[in-house]
Amino acid sequence: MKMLELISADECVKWEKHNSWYVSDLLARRGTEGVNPLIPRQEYELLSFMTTFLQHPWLYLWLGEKVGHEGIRETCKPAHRQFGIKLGNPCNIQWGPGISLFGRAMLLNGGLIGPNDHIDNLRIIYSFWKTVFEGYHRSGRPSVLDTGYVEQVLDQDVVEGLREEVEPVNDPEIRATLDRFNALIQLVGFLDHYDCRLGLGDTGPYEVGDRMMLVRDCFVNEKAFPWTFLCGDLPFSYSVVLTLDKKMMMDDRRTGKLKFFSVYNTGTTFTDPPEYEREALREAAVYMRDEDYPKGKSTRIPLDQLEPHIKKLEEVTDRFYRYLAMKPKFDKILEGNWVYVAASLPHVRSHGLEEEAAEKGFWDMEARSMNAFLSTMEHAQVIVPKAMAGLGFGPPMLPGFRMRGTKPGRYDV
Amino acid sequence: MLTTQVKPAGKKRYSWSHEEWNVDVELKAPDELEDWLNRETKYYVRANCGFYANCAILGVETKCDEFLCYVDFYKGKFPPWYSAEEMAALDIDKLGKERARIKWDNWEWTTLKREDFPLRMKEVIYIYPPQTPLIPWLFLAPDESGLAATK
Repeated sequence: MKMLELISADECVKWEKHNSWYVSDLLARRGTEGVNPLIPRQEYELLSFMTTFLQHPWLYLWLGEKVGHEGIRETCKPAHRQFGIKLGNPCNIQWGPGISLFGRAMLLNGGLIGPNDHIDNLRIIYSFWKTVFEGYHRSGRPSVLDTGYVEQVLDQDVVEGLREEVEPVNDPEIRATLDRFNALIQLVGFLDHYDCRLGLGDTGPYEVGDRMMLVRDCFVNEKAFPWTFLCGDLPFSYSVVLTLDKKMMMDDRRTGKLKFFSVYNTGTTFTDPPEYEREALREAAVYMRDEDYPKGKSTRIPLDQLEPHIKKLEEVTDRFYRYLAMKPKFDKILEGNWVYVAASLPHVRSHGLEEEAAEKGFWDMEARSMNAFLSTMEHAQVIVPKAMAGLGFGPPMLPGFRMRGTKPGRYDV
Repeated sequence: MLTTQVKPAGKKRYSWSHEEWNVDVELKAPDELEDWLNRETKYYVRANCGFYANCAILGVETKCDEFLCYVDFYKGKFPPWYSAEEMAALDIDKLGKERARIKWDNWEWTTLKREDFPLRMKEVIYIYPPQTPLIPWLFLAPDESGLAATK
């Protein structure tokens, strides 16, 4: 019988502990980023995380019945050969199941559940997350925290092929154009995904000869979202391949100038010094892809042909800001909710099950989470940061253990 | 005191744990446990935002009671809320050489209490495996990766 094989309840302890480290690590880094005042992000996160914790376990069990445990492990196999697809985007792969775990933290922090409530949901979510990652990373390990912040997904021969296509960026005009393009695709990726990172992500660094390589995907037109009309005729994604000077990086690591170079599970690159990527950049290549996997194909755009794309991206940015400025707040909470629900979309899309999943209720509102949301909404600004700090990832209670129970809403942040 | 015995795979309490030890250690005070963990723990999970962490499940006997409990121990700050100035000054490589401290108070992942001492520790379970960096020179401190000794 085809099914997702579940871990035991006590194994959830291992992954909860790991997740609390990972999430606090990521959030501490992201604390340096700005926020978009037009988007009620904490409110929609509160809703969507609870929605996915309560609702997505059925989806993962259903996928297990459809494609089997090995099928789930193989879900991301195409991402070893192709880029510019959401199956290759670390943020989607991490947060598809990962945001549901925040949902538990928020329900705990909101005082709505105890540590052992919905324990089977926890087992299903971790089982799915772990199995998908076993097939996603080249290393087979579930987290970049295990492998020194290296997010290698593409096969080595693929990245070596990309090395053949990059162009030097030492011409100041080309460099300035690339910088504008790079900034704009990330901005539109954010805007199309309600200011969250599901719209972009890096993989790498890959070692290719005397270069280190990053592959950055930005999803600027997700056609499953009702606001796709704002994106005009933008392609589904743009990708930028960046090569960095490996010798310089090794020298700077040796002298301590480069304190760290980290790509997180969400595909976010953090370095110290913060602008190091720009310093070490030597070559680049740009691609666009018309549709998400399993459809579509990638086309390279020479660096001297980026201007028309920049113009389109600027127009779309303008349209997004006007849309967000006019939209009522509660509508934006609901739309943001669907963005996070859609983090699991690549898992069904890749197996050709997008329509069937929709018929089964993929886009339906989970009534329990809406009720929980309405009772906690006014405290979102308090609950969300605490839960997302990784502090809410407390262990379930197990036989034979001395426990302290939960401390709803009392975490020091 | 018996030497530490690493349990073979078939004798482990949890198949999913990294490593499980049978020990027999009398500990009179919390500081002694912290000393023991610093001496015996072979690895920490390094998080580049500013901490090194490990978490162990201990089997302890104390005051006519026997139970399993969590002990969470860190180098640096956890949660890692550094100010921008602290973060800029932080050297994550150097932090790895510091002493780890048990996070004792008001913390769900440390369920042993100071008042449980004195106690006999009988079992130590390391939950999560050590990191295995794919690009050691990029992740580890230059003296650990061997980069410091190269040109």
